[in-house]
Amino acid sequence: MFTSVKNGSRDKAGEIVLTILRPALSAIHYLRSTTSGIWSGYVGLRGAAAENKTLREQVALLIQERSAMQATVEENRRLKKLLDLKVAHDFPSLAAQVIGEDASGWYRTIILNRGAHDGVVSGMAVTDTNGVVGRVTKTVAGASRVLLLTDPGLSIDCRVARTRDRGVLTGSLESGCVLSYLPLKADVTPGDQVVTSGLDGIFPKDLPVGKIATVRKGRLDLFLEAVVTPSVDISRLEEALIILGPKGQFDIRLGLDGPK
Amino acid sequence: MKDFAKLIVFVYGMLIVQTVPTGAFSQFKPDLPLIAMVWAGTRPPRIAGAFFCLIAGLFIDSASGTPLGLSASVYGLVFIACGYYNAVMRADALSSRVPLVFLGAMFSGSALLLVRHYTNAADVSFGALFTLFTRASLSALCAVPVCVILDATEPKPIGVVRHRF
Repeated sequence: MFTSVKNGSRDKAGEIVLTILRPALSAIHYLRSTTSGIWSGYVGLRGAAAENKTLREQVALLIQERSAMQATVEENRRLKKLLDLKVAHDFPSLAAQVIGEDASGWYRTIILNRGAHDGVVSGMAVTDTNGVVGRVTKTVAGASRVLLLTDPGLSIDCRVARTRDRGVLTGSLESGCVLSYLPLKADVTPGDQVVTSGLDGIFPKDLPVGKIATVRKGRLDLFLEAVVTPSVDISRLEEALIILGPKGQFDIRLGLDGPK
Repeated sequence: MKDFAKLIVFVYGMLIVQTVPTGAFSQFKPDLPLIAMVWAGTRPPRIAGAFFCLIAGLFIDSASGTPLGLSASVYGLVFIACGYYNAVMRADALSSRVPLVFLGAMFSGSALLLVRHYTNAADVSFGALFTLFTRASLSALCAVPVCVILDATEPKPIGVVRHRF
């Protein structure tokens, strides 16, 4: 009866639930994005109109700001379309919007609005313009679930960018992640950038993961471990890029990163 | 049949609320399905409540990283405990349901935390226990309006005057 979240198995119940959830979550996402604009634009102006003349001047300023914001929104929409076609990476990727998050609250997962119909399969890496976000664990026709790098169930092979020391990054139920199995002689200091090593075959090489916050000795004093602050602010994540290269299709040799 | 349909609507609605992104507050979301579970456990008919319990648990498992069947099992135990407590102590008033929600949320959270600890080596730290207690407290707080709303959907018996206190 119990199945693991990590193996990405295609259970029918999960597919049905995600399929029936997707339209409602997409509708709520749309409503939230539109009503926030209505609140600041219409209700705010209406309240200001009832105030004195000084406030009316501020209303005029708000109108100008609103039109500027609308222009920014349009620009943002165009950029999103561009992102859909081509991103700054050398490998094919797909832009997706975050439409939901974990229902239980005890796991660090999010739901994206791209699924099997868009070519997304279980095991694909998910990134942001700032760095690694997580890994796809389940897909249905129009949605997919992503296990975030802050979840203890996800481990990523990483390197410290400055010293090239390798370690395994895992999530923590506390905020942030932990980089374990660093050599005791490693010259690692707070502020060092952590990047993916590419050796796990899931994440391409040298994607930013986070910055080291503190360094300490691990259990039994055999290795060092470091607390890492992720580059991506998961709580503010609205869009993500799914790298369309399944596990094992990234060549780890120097200069040959990308799908075969 | 009406009861089944009503509970299915509740499950869908609560699942939507539970999965809407809340940013930094995601780990402090109240356990809404558990509130409905306690409510269903302290009222007849039991068969509709048991059905709701199973479906809600499976839905939650499917919409989160929880192993499939875990939430359904935990909710089932909470449902049975509430039913027993109701049979012995008559716990269908709001003042009884709120503490039951708190205890149920502590139990379900602890079960999930232990599963995480033994499957993913997640630390049972002070932060995790704080999250557990905060979620249970928030669930108990939310139980007040949710139970009142759920009670309002119940048909009033003909010829019987219902006393609110």
